[in-house]
Order: sequence, then structure tokens, then C-alpha cells
Amino acid sequence: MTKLENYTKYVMAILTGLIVAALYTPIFLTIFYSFYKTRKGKVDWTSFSYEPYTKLIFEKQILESLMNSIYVGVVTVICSVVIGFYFANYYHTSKSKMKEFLQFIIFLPFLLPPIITGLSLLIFFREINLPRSLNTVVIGHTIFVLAIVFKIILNKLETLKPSLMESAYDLGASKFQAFWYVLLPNIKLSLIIAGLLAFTISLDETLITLFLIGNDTTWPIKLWAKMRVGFSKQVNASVTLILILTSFLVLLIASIISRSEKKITY
Amino acid sequence: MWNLIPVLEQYLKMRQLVNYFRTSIWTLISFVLVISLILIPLGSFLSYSFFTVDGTDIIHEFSLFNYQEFLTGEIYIKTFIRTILLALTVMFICILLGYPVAYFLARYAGKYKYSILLMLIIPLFMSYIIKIYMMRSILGFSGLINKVLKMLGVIEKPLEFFLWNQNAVIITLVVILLPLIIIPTFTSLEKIPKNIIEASFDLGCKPFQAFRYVIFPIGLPGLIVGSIFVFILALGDFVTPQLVGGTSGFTYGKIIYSNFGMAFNWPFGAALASILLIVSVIIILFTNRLTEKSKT
Amino acid sequence: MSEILELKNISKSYGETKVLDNISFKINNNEFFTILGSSGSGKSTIIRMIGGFVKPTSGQIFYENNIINEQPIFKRPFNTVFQDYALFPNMNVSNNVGFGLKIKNVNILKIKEKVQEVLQIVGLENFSDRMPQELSGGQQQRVALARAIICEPKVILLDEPLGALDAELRKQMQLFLKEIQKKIKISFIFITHDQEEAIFLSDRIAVLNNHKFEQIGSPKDLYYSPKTTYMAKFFGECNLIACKVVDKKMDSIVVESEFGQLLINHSIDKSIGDSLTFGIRPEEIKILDQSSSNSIEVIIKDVEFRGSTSNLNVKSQHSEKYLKIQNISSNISQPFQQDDVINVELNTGVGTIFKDETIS
Repeated sequence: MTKLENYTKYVMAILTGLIVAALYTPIFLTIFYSFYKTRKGKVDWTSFSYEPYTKLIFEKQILESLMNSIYVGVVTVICSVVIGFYFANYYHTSKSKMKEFLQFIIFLPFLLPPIITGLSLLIFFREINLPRSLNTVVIGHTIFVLAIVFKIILNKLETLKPSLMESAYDLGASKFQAFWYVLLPNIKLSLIIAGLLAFTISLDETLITLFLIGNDTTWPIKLWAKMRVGFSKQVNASVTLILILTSFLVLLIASIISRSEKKITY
Repeated sequence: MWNLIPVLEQYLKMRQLVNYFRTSIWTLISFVLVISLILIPLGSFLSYSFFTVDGTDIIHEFSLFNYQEFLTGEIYIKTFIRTILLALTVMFICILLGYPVAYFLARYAGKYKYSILLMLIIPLFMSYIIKIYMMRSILGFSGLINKVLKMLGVIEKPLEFFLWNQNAVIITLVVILLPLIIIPTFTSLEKIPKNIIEASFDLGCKPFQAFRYVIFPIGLPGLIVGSIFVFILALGDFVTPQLVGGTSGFTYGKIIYSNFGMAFNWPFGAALASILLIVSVIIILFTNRLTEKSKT
Repeated sequence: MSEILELKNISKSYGETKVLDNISFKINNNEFFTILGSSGSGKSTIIRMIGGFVKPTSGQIFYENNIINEQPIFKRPFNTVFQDYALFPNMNVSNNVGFGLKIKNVNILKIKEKVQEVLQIVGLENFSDRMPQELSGGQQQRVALARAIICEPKVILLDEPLGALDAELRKQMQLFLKEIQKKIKISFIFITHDQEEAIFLSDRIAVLNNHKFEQIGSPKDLYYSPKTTYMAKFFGECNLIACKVVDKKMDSIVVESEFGQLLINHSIDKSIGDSLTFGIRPEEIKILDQSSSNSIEVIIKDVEFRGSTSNLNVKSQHSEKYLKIQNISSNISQPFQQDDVINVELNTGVGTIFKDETIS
């Protein structure tokens, strides 16, 4: 390694450090402000308290929006994993030329700006007279995350040998048995990863939701509304809790992926 | 759970007669689902762009009025171009900051590369609104940046340079979107086999030449994919500009959104969005061609 | 013949694991030199050290009598053909081949000319616009070779280049490599784990075992005068017989073994009572019609029919020691049955005497 290369290496390492710091500063500040008070822009170091977290129980609006978000997330996960699996399996087994077209359509909502997905569904729902609600949000989230879920499951299916299902049929398994005893255990992890990812994305989705939400609010929408008046400590506390949840989910996904990779390489 | 299986099996056996029928039905349903939830909405939004509005009623008649409005109303084209430039700026800053990071992780971070990558991914999933809100307080008049600069003695008075203007929008979008460029770039750089890099040295490349002729071109598809993601998301974002941009927050996405809110002119909003859609689709197809080409 | 490259007392360890233990060798000009060893024996490490990808833990590498240990990869006048070719996926064949010259800022027209010339040598002149991914394994191999020879290096390092090819293609590429090496007159350092390949290709072979060179020499040297019992068994088969010297004559010795007394036509510095190991190739054992002065009696354990020839496994009459006899014309072996007693004579003139080693 030459001196210059060494030098660039250190510069890049420092840059990486700075960027990690920059990405986490807003997050740490939020957590910090959930514990400490500020007065005229100065931190009051004596004001540490858990109070916002205990008070959170009385914040009906925040709690309700959180529950709504979790509802939307869970239903989105179920819908997107079921549909995503169906499409991935179809894409994997079908020889029809339509499948490329199908894949292209599935990817559209993910690739296009979210504003377009949001407003096209908004117009569609208005045309078919479907009132906006949490369920319309679920539809929006489902088609948004479908591409990712589809791709994760498809990647997994493509690593399986075709002889796997064939041998199951050969041993006399019915279609359902082959699916339940052979296919499902083999792709289980990819379904879990896809589901967790879908949930994490849904939990924080804002741009599509803004178009599709009716009178209910999900958590990010609540934050958006509260932002005009400034955040209370309880809001910061709820943010902290959600941040813990999402980082836990992401770490869980990462650990599942790294463990399943180790398994493959024996 | 396992006790359920025999029951389910019985149920399915009864249905074996309609097996063939069933599979074709499922295929049909899946296509109908996708078409009705993705294609038809896109189609209805495109057709809306040809409608007009009268008060609160939407007149379902073909008209090019909205597009004429876009082309004649100078402000729309101006805003559109300004927003494209904004998105390009965000994209270039993200490339400038993200590429070295991805490169460092892929080539020098050794066994820590996945842990650091994970650290860069996590913020991506962390509340978008919160990040904007906190950026606002960081960038603000009495925010963190001004405080630090003052402490370091770089400035005497807090600067208003950071908030309620284009800079604020750019900085905030960069902080939000940066991981999106690092991840695909890292993936494609990391996939370069070690011996290909060794081969370039073996054939006489100095480190920079190895980068210029081998590593950079092979890793390019990842960078392009990441850049396009950043560009498209920056182009269509309407919340960030509104919340940190002040008067400069009047971006193209914001105009579209306001037509669906207060202004209540859905057809016009749809027309503006159609133009955004066309630009996006062209970019996606172009990128697709570009990355496909370098794949074969 | 002049030496071009020398490795002196080279050792390499990764942490606690020793990969190479004090090895030394020299490479001559225009030589096809093969390093032969099983996988994980450290043979690739040697080549990677010469190429500059790995630094030795201790020892020196000399190129034309200058130490080049610290010289960066791109300054070394050697080029490598990598195991899985390492062609640049973003360049077509002619750009891949011309890359080394482009880096050296050679005139574009000159590069074109040279690329065509080299592609002709490797027989790929019609493939210059293809991408590497569109080529077969053998073709990729040729491109990798063309890319290495175009820079006119002093030494070409080939890191198991034929490992990924199927048997048929492998044979073709062996012939091809040998021809090319003669044509372009550059030293090749070739790495393989395949003994036949090494024998076929090489001017000299170095056998790596246990992080050390077991022996270096021409293929014939290695076959006919192995220095250790490991070497004796490494190429082909070898019967190793434990003996004790019982008599000593002018240019021969008489030894006692489990197969009886043998007369070995070697003048060797051993005194009566010394023990030694005598190695003899299976094809150097002759079957006699009747016993002679130097024959021994053995019992046939089994006959391996191999078509025109057969192999015999025979057993000493007194113990459970076995001998292998190879390449017996099947006409001769036809009447043989298990447990037949036959007389054989060992052609002891071409056998090898090893210092007393325990026979493994």
C-alpha cells in the first residue's frame, strides 16, 4: 500500500465516522430531549426525568395513532407477504411471458415517487367511492412494499433446487403437503425477513399515507400535525420508544440474514 | 398448529376436483389485483389530468387545459426546473459523501464492514418526520450547528444561512437519503472479486489507475441505482421542503400536494404529477438500460 | 542457462499457522517450472509472494540479483494468470488484453497491433469484441494468458489455471501452454496439484509437502531418483521394503528382507548390520519361469485385470508384507490364480535406497 493510498484510507474513515455521527445526531437529540428540558436554547442538566414516559399513558391521541400504525403495519405485513409470496412463486414457476410485465407493474409503486402512488390511489378510491380510512392506507402500504417483499421471497425461491419440490411430489406429497412440509420450511426465513421489513417501512411511511388517510391518524401523521405547534416531551418519548422498536426490528432482520447465510455456507 | 393439517387436507381433497379451475382462478385474481390496484389507479390519475374542475365538482371531460396551464404559467415550469436542480444537487452531494463511505466499507473496513453498514441502514428506517423536525432544530438560529460554530469561534453571531431556505432543504434531504446511495454502491463494490483488483495491479496499475479503470466502472451500476433512488425521492418529496424550506419550500411536489389540499384542483395536480411521472419513468427506463448494458 | 529469479529462505506464517517453512529455489530463463502440492500446501502463497500480493514473513526474493521484497506489485516485471482468470467484466477481450499496455501509456495504434498479434498466438483473433462473460472457460483462460504475455514479463505466474476446466479441455490447454511457452520464451511458474500435468508440462518440478520442498528436479529425476520415501510414493507407485545389510561386496550389497535375501547393485556406504529402506517401482519386478539365484518366491493375492496389462498383488511367504507388480502382459498373467506361488526377480539396479526411515 502506498502512502497516498493510506492517506486516502484515513480520510475516508474519518468521513465515514462523520457521516454516521451526522445520521445519528437528530436521533440522539430526540432521545436526549425526552429526558432533559431546555430553557431559552440552553440545556437544564438538572431536569432529567422519566416523567414523559409515564405521562405517555395519558396521551390518548398519541397512543391511538400508535395503535393505528401498528394495525396498519400488521395488516400490511399479512397482505404483502401473502400476495408477495404468491407472485414470487408465480414468477418463479411460470413460463409465461406475462410474468416480466407483472414484475414491472409490481415494481412501479416502489420506483415511482411516493407522491404519485399516493395520489393515484386517492383518485382511484374517489372514483370507486371508497371512503378513506386506515384500510385504504393498508392498500397503499401493501402495494408500496410489495416490490421488496416479492424480491426477497423470489431471491430465496431461486436458490432452491427445482428437484426439491419434484422430489416431494415424487414421494407422493399433495400440492398442499409439498408446500407445507417442503417449500414453507425452506423459505420461512425469507418470509420473516420480508414481513419484518414491510412492517418497519409501513410504520414510518408518511408520503403515501398523507393522501390516503381519512379522519384517523397514524403515528407519523400525528407527528406531522404536532410539528406545527412543536413537540411536547411526551412526543419525544413516544419517538424514542418507536426508535427502539425499529432499531430492534432492523437488528433482528440483520441477525436472521447473517445467521441464514452462515447456514448456507456450512 | 400441526393438528390443523389433517383437517385442512380433507378440505383440500374435496376441492381437488376443481384444482385445475382453481389455479387458473388464482392467476386471474392475482392479475386483476395488481392491475386494479396499480395500473388502474395510475390510469385514472393520468386520465384525471385531462379533466377540469368547476368549484368543487370535477368535470369528466377531455381537455388539455391543465397542460396548457402548466406550459403557460411560467411559475410551474420554473418551479419544476428548480426542483430538478434541487434534486440533482442533493444527488451529487449524496454521491460525493456516500461513495467514499461505501468504498471505504467495501475495501478497507474488513470484518467491521457489515456492522458499520448496519449502522448506516438503521437511520433509514427511523422516523422520517422526526428527522426533519430534529434537523430543523439543529439547523435553526439557536440550533446545534450555530452553537458549535460559535463555540469554535468560526462565527460571532448565529447564522440564518441554515434554515428556511434552499440550503436547509438540501442538507435535510441529504441526511435522510444518504443511506440509500451507500447501500447499493457498497453492494456492487463489495461484489468485485479480490483477484480482479489484484489483476489490475499485476498488469501495472497504480492504485488510482486500478480505481479509475477497474473498480469504479465495475461498481458503477450500484452507484447509478442509488443515485436514481435519491434523485427520484428528492424530486417528489413535498414534506421536507415544506417543513424546513420556508419560502424556498415551494417545490414541485409541494405544488402538486397543495392542489389536492387547500387549492382543491385535483385534475391540475394530476397533470403536474403526470409530468413528474413521465420524467421519472424515462429516468427509470434509462437507468435500467444503462445497468443492463453493463451487466452483459 | 542463467537464473532470473531466486527465493532464499522464505518463510510465511499467518499468525500462528505456518504456511511456508524456509524454502529456497531458483528459476532459470525460459524455464517451465512447476510447483506441485496438494491443496492448502501453500503453493499459491509462493506465487503470490513473487507477484507481490503477499509479503514473506522472512527471507528474500531476488530478481536479477536485486532484492524485490518491498517492490510494489505494479512495478514487478511479472504477470499472473489467475485461477479463475480474473478478467475485467467491464471490458471486451481486446481491451482486457491491451490493458497492461494502456496503463503503460503505449500508443493506441501500437496497442491494437500488439493485441491482434497476441490474440493470434492464443488463437482468439476472431473474438476481440466479445465480452469475457460470453466466452467459454477455455477461451477465458486464453484471454487471461494473452493479457499476461502482452506485457512481455520476465516471468509468468500461473496459479492453477487449469483447475476449473474439464478433463478434455484440460488436456488441450496443457498442450497449448507448453507450445506457447516454447514460442514466447518466457519463464513460466506453474502451480498445480495434478502430478501427470506437472510431469507433462515441466522442465523442473518442485514438490511441496508439509510447508517445505520435498525435492526439486526434472520430472525424470523425481521419478527415477526420489530422495525420500514420500517422493517415491508421490509419483506412481513404489514398493518400499525394509532391509538389513548382511553382506557387502565391491559394488553391491546383500540385504535380508521379509521376502528373503536380495542382492542390490548399489555401492553404498553401509556396513553390515545397518538397516535401510529399499524402494522399487512395480514395473521393475519381473516374473520368472523358474527360480534363479536372485529371485524370490511370493504368493499371489490377487490379479487386477486392466486390459492389455495386469497388475499383481503378491505376498511374502513368511509374513503379511505385500508387493505390487505392474504392467504384466495379460498373456502372461492369464493362467495365474490366487494363492499360486511364483518366482519374481527385482531389478535392483534401478531401485532406490533410502536412509533408514520408518515406512508409512
